[in-house]
Amino acid sequence: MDSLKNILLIATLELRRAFTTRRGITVIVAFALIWGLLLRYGVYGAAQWLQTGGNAIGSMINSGTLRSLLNWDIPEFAVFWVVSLYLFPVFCLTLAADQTATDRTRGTLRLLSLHATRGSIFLGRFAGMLLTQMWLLLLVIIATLVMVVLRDPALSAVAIETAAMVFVNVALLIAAYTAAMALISVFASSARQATTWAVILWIAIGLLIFWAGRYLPQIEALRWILPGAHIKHLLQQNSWQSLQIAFVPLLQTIGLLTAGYIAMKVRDL
Amino acid sequence: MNQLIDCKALSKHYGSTKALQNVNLSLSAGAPIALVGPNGAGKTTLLSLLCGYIKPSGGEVTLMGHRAGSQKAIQHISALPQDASLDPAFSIGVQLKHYAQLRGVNQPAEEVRRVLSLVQMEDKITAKATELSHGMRKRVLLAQSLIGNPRLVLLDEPTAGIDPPNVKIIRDLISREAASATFIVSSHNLDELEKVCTTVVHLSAGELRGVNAIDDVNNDGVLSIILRSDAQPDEQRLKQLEGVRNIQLRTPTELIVEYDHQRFPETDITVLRNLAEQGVRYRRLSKGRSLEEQVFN
Repeated sequence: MDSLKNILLIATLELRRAFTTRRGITVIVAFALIWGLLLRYGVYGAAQWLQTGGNAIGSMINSGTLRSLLNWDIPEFAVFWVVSLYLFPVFCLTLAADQTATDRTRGTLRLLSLHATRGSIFLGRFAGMLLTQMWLLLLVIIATLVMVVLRDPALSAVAIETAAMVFVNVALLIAAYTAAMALISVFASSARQATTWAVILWIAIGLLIFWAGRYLPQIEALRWILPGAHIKHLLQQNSWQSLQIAFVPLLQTIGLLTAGYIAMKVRDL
Repeated sequence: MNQLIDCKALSKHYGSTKALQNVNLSLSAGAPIALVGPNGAGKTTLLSLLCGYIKPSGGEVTLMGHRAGSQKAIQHISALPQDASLDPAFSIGVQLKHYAQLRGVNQPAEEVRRVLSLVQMEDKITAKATELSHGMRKRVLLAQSLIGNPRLVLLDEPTAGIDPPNVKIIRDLISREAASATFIVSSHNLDELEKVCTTVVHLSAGELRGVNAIDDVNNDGVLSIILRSDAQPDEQRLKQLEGVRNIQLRTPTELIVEYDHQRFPETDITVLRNLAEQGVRYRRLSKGRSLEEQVFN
């Protein structure tokens, strides 16, 4: 049994890497700049549009997603919802790519494995990466919340509840992506290779399922193994009802973590 | 339980390359053990199997009765792996403390200071690995291997590529710490191994050639003399001395004298007297063959 204490110790060091080392801070500054621009010119601007002319245009365009966005109580979170459901997985492909890859190539994993089990290392690194991203997600959600409250303080209560709903759903989504990157990182020799493999695998598996589905429709169901498969369903949601499909990212996370855990145990260091 | 390592029919193959073949080896706790053999002999493969980095292709390996790489095994062992590096993102102190915490050491900060002081590196606790020389990095990795007082310490080429002062620090440390842990040291520097180890495990082409105590090797009847560089001994004169069986100038400065020690036990004195008469001066004299001689000749 892998020690929970060691998993927490390893996860804590990963948080320290993200928030106190030069490389980690550089990544966070880049992340903050991108999200600063997105919030100011993307979310804020689009929210203004949804508030004013969006309804009229939305009724003319036959888009289920756009219509569901118009149903949100807070337009800022409606736009944030769409942007984060697509962008956080993309960030995850790079932020969570280097869970064990570089350390294996450098031999650091050999040192670490003398003091902790491979299972603890794998789960600790995953937990650290997930917690780092959840902190970043929390920060941008709080920034969005501040934007809403500054515009209309009366929306505070609704905004906080909406923010919590968005946080939980996006956190579940990135958990599945982070688990996938944990698995890929076990086989990759660098962060860049892990990201490249992830992109290739996602596209290749997606295309394969689509192609095979034309001949055997039952195969279409396999797309649920890919993280992010439930995003288009989430886009139709604007309430806690979205958790009805939370089992999808949860099962994906458990499945991918199990595969990665086994791979980590048997792979040579 | 005194037995530390037990390998039964241990094999490791990489494709068609047989890195280790059918190795049966049992080693007990005690004085440092040398793991020797030429390049490709399987030394690093054996140490990697013991550390649990790689899985055997056949056979089994246990440490103190536990499967190599298992949680119970790693509680008692540590290692200085060849070509392993510390994380450049964190200071040495942060990483060693992290390792000590993972090992469950009660006072990790004190433990880090203790192991760094053993390798005379306590003043570098805030430095990053990239700021240190190769020799210093090796010493830090050696300190890492001593965290938590492991019972078995595996050192893979601990002195490779480092300067004599650092070699001496590492050698002295192994000698000093040998009382509290069993060291297994793999190295090409056989002179160094000879100074600290008492048992030799000899591998060649992936096969175990033998396990010998250095003192058990019959060293009688052999004299190794390291000559000064300007010395030019007359080998023919030496060969004519009573009791001398063979004279071999292995290198321009290394003279090996083999003699009949049972019938002519004073031959060593005679040889030295003859060299003095020839005006040949020497720097070092030792009885018996060097470890290198024993292993490779």
